[in-house]
Amino acid sequence: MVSGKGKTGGESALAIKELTGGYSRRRPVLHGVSLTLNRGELLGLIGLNGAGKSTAIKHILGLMVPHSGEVRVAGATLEEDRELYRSSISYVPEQPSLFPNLTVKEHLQWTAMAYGLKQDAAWARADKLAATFRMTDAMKSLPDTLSKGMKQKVMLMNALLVEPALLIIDEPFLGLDPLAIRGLVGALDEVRAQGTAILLSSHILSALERKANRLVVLHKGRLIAEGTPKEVKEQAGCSGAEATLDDAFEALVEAAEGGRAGE
Amino acid sequence: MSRNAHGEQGDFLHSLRRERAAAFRQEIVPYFRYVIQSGFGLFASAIFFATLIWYTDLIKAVPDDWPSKWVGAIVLSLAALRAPLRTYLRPADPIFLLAMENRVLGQYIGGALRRAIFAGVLRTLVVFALYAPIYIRSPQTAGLADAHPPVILAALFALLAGYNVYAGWRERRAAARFWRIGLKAFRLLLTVAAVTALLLKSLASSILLAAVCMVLLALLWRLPAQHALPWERLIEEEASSRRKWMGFLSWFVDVPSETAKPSYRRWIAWVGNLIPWSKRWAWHYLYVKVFLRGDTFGALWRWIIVTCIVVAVSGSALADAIAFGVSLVVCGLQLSELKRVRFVETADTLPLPPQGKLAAAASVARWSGIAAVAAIGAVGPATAGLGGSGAGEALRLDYWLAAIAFGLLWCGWWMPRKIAKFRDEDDL
Repeated sequence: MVSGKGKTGGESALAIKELTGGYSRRRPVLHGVSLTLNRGELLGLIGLNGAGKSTAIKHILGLMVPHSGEVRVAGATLEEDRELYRSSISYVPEQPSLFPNLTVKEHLQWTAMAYGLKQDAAWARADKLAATFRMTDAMKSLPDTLSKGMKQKVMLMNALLVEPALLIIDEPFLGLDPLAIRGLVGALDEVRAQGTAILLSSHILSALERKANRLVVLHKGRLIAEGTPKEVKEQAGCSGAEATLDDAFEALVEAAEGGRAGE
Repeated sequence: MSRNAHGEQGDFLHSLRRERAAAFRQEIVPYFRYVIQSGFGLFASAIFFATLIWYTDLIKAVPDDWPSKWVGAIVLSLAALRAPLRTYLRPADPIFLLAMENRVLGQYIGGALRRAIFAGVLRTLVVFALYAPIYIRSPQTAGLADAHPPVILAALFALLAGYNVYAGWRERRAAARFWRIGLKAFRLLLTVAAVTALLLKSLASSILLAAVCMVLLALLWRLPAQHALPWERLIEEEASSRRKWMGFLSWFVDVPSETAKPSYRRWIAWVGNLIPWSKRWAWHYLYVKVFLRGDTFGALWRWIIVTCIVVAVSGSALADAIAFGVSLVVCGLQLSELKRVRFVETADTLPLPPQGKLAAAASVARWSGIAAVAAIGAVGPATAGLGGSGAGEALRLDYWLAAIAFGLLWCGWWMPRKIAKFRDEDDL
């Protein structure tokens, strides 16, 4: 088993140790996954559909209870300090998940209230995010009047409003227009510079190759590769100048499948 | 396409609507056992028999000052105006049925429209059958009744009701919201004018007025841009009808919740902004906004308005107090819906204590209930002595205070307590 270890040093925002979990104890989805993510790092989470990425994220969010192992966020498990744990995480799911009865502005207000942000600072940040994502004119709109991409922007604005210790984003680029993608990348760079650790799950490997400090590759609930994009390519035997992360990922999956077939 | 294939499509659509209607009935009928067991059956029976006794007494000797003219105009207008259309359309229908839109219009919507017209005519005839004895015997309208044969009036009201249902369909077809609202408002005005004229003016002139109104409406329908079949609107309306049924049933038993389309309600949603900016009040903020823009509040405020009107015009202190009490029972039941508010997935990941949800729901229900008691409670003293003919009974403070006390207990204490103690994790 490969274990992901942060290499940039500094305080750990996320530490997962020997995590086994899933919906059923008889058929766990994750098998002894370990990784750490330090403040200011961007960790790319890669895997095929059904590899266990979403299950891993649910365990980190505390929406699922591990069968064994532990998840620490900002140094605490959910049981040890629920308040610290929850207030250290901000999450953007793959599908926009908004309250139909709240306007964009009210979503931001509720998030700010939930995280205990000061009113003036929250609105200043909200205005900046609205400008970044070109949502200023939509602040008083209800979600059912917004396109899917705009809803995704609202989710991102909510998550970025908080400036948490750990930001978890599942497929952030789906449905976004090119300017919004550029705005998101800029905003992610900004929060990283301020010390936020980012766990980013995506199938767009070229983006991860450019932006991620490190990558972890999950396959059938097991961590099969970890390291910087260059190291992952080397682990896959794709170290040529022409090799892309897509090539490396394909090689890793094929190797894992072959290995399992030979077991 | 061959004639045979057209026929098959028509049969398919005809049976599809019938199957869906039957499936809906099969879905809701089993729940009525719980409604009856809950005591609602007893309560409704009590109301029915009390109303029957009151009605029998009334038609035996209608008092001189009983406002039969206006009661007739109001109840018959309300009966004729209703134009609901149950289509049982589903969100996926435009994808699968769009290719046979013309057939859907003829076989599917046509069938639904015919049933709606039949229901509208029947409803109006029942209301007229109940009103006719009053019309004939009331000192205020007996003279008019001599010149208005009931059979002819019944036929005219039936025609008006059927026309209203069809007019409702034409309104739905208008593409712009402005036109839909405008046509509806115009239909309301013309129907009230026609009903009032048919009851209170000479038959010949009022028939002419009704005919002019109908022609005028028919001309107006030609003006706006129209959909041949307003899929989205009908699907939304169907979902709303389902929600109303399920909302009613959920007062008595757990039913699958239906997601409601929110209303912006700028005029009241600002109340949520008065909540202090603090983590402690975050759940309250969410509940207030969800409540004020949801179906529950839509039903609640209309119910309060109707009660206020009843209290203002009834002219009887006892009737006022009973209406107040009954209305508050319904308000409390509607507020109990707050315990079933469903939250999005991400709400569970925020740093807020989950147990705070029900406490906030109970608090919002309490203050909303108290506001309802205050609103209706203020109308009684403000309109005491009015009544339909302007000679209503003075306010009976003992009745009124008892009704207020009951309202505060039910809406301000008992129902919030039930919400706070609600235990069904699946619903949180």
